[in-house]
Amino acid sequence: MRIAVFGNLMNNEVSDLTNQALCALKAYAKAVTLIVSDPVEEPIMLPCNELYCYSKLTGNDDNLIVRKMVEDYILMYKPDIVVIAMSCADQVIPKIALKCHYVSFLACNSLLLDGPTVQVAKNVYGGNASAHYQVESPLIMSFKPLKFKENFLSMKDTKIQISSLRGVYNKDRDDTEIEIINQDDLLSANFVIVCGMGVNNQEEINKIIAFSRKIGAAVGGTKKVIDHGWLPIHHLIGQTGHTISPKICLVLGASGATPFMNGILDSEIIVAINSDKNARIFDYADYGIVDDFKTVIIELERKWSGL
Amino acid sequence: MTMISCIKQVYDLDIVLKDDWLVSKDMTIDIDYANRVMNTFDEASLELMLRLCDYDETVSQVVTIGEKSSETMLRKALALGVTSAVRIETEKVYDYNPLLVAHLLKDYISGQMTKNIQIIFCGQEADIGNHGQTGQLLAELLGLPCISRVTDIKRFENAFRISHLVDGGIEHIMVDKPVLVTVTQSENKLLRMATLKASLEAKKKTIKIFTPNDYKDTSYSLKKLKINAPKNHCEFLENIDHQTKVDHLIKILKEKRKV
Repeated sequence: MRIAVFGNLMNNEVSDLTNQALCALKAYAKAVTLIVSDPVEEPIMLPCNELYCYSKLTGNDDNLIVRKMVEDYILMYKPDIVVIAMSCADQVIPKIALKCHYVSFLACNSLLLDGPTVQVAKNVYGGNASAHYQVESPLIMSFKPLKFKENFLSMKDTKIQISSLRGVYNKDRDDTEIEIINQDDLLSANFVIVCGMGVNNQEEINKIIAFSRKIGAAVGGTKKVIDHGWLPIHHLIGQTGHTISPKICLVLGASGATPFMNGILDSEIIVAINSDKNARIFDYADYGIVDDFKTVIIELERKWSGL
Repeated sequence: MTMISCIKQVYDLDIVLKDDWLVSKDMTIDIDYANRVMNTFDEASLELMLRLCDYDETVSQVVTIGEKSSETMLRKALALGVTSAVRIETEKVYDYNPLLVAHLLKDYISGQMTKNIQIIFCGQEADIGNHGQTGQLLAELLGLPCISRVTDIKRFENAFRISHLVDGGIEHIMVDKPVLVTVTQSENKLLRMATLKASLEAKKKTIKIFTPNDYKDTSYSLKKLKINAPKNHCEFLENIDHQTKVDHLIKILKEKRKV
């Protein structure tokens, strides 16, 4: 069984997504080759059998470079399993799968190898259930991004191979513009306040934002809050937005729909405030307060300065 | 100019009761009592398409795959101002195979390619399978470029400015050739509501039925379906006044040495 993981290295350190993939596959480390297009300095120690480097592929079309890399590697080495541990995975995997006749899955929870049998698990029914698929063909997949904390044990000096494939791949047009959005605050915050529809309006959201600045917390919102335009898209927490893992996640006025919960389940503590005792959020929270969030926040703000 | 939006009718999972999340022997979950609604991402993509069609003579069409019961959703789209609606007829369920879904859509859409199709809209993902691949696969089968995670599209003379989420921000791309987009959530893209008059008129409109080829895929199979159970260990701070609740909350936070 040959497993190819396509990831990123920066200054010989793997990216978070690459780290997550290598940890998920650590039981099969001897069958894993990590493939990157970043420069590598020897020696390097990674939890895989080999490092393969496409350092001569350049240009500004990252997606096209990844496609060229993956398709070239598949043509040469025909790996049984390909894992794309990059943020462009959802865009390139289906295209590569069609071209190379691989089965494709995105955002998987786990991969299990049992002899020749390959099983992939991923969330279905909006995250309320998990489907386990048995795959008969070569597989190309990505893992669901998590804030992965595990450190892997490196093998001895990893063998490095450099590919001779050269190419410059640039975008068709040069008039694209990128609006940079700093999401570090939300993704790295230790304390996050998440607002649900129960917060009710923009004015209350603004008050919570002002309160969060006082206490050094970041603010996120559920899908319905974003749909209403009360918070911008990059504050979306949930299955199709960000997955966060702060020390404290304070959830205000959210019912606890599963797609949202999948975005906060990795939090160390979840505290929920909701006026409905039967709200699903309380099935997942560590602590619950059945009350109007406004009165709790006013009191919390008043006493916070005393901490 | 023509635009097509691919939409799917799904169950409203928010109203399914906690105790009804049970897997039966045939690996299905019986939630037939739940409302059928348009997939939320497809609502956002339909709204984007309608906004682009609001101010000129662009022809708009919605396409779905399913049984006759899905025509309710198509009539809702017609009531919102879509020019025509097509149902790709099949009794099979393709929730777990996005490639087969893409082939069925391609069978219909490839026959429409002579009609100056400018943009094909798909939602980013849909229940039940939540694969998030159908749009990208359809684009590849049709030989069209695909832009994923689209949040907004604006018309600029003979081109479109498409905004989509990328790592670290939003990229704005100018596009002047046919393209397929997969649409994600963004601010203020709630699907508009139809008037009563428009809804009544939509009931009289004809929905075109298309019969696709038959496709099979044996490359993988569903082996197990498991419910993701909640933790159920919530400690309630109750039967006390506001001030005491907050004192308890602050105490918990301090005890856990989180603050």
